Amino acid sequence: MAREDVLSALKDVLVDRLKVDAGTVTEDANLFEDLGLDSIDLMTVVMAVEERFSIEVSDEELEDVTTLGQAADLLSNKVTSNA
Amino acid sequence: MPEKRRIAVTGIGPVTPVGIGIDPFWDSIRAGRSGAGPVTQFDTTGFAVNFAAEVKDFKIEDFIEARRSRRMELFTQFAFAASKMALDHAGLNPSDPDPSRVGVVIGSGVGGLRLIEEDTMNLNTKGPRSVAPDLIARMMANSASGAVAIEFGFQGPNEATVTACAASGNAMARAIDHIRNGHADIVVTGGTETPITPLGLAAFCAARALSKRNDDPQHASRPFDLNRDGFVLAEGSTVLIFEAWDAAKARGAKILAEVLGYGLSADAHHLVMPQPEGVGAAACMHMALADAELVPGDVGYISAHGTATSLGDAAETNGIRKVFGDSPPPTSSTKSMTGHLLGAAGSTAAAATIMALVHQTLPPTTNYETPDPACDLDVVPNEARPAKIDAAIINTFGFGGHNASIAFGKA
Repeated sequence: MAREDVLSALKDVLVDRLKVDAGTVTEDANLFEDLGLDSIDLMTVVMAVEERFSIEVSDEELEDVTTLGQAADLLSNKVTSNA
Repeated sequence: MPEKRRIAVTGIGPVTPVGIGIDPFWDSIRAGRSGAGPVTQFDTTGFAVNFAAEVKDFKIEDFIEARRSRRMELFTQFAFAASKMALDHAGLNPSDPDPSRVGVVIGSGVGGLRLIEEDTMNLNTKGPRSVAPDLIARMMANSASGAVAIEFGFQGPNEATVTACAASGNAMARAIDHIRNGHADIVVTGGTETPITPLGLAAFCAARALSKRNDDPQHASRPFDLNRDGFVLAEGSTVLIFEAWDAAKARGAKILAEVLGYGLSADAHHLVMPQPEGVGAAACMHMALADAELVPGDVGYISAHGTATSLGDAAETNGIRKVFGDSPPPTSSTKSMTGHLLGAAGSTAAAATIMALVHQTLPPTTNYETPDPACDLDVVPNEARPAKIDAAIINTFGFGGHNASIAFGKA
């Protein structure tokens, strides 16, 4: 449940705020190579989700994230462990 | 002294309250249409002034794909759109010239004020972790110059001038230098500003700088009129293509006007009030004439800074009288129509002046009803006027005491 919500929130930010083409936003998509994000974009996405779910992610935790699915895993684990 | 490299204006891109694109812009200026109206961008309840001159029907998607504009704050969007239209007008495919020979100098008084306001609210209400990671990149005043170069790949000299309402005047002066010095063959230059935000409007209200004719916005901007009561805040961007004359000729470009020279000075008097005798303004105009190798009698038209403040218009009149004596050329203020675009004011006035040279038609000062003895000039009252002019100068003066004048000649 949390993972679906987080994934949907991530997609919203990518499409609405960062204007990424909705058709390219899949779980396997590489955030940088496929979706064209840079490090500031990634922080923008993470911040929006942090605020929505009242979680905090450290810079170190983000270092291994390269796909949308990995981002959803990391963030939804935070949400679940907060619950 | 070695011969100065000649410079052509080959393109103009206005994003202004009286029109987007050169044809709508010039149609409005020639017809004397005002761009002022009630503020639509936010609720002005409680503000002493509730009107401004806003850009209408602007969509960045008309100029660039949404994904690429994500980091463009509105002032950068305006500047990008203005640059794209100016390049199109110049018939320049951005990928044709050697990218290392194309510079960008676009000034702004402030930059992304709205974003600073929003993130200050976030900081105060939600804490430091809520501040946007791209705030710095988007709000900085040089973001427009940077973004234009990034999108078009222009790798020549790139900078942003920050001299308040003289910003685009200083930008054009820098552009002239870059071409004359041989550092660039083409410079995309002008200014951009988006001051119509809650903080921007409140601050100019607090400074008592704005007209309070809330019941009649279209007649509020009254440069040189006895009953003027301040300027009308405006937003927008105008960008011009300055190009080495020989390079423009070589590619068969249509040359709109010649850039003859510039003058720069400081009042060294007060942060916001002009030196009342117009000493700094006169010095600036003198320098521009000398640089352009003109004598006062050569100048057929002055595009005044003329913001419609009581002190400013009188001081500029005194400055003009110092330079041009008893018979100054016709002098109008297009701010009567566009409002005051602050950092984009100089390049917007330049656009109107270049079109005046092209069409041999002087832009009017609208809303002119009651002459002010302190502003004893032929202000081209209310109606555009046919005239034979070979050279013209534009004045643009900024808070801080910055003065810039640019001289243009008929092509």
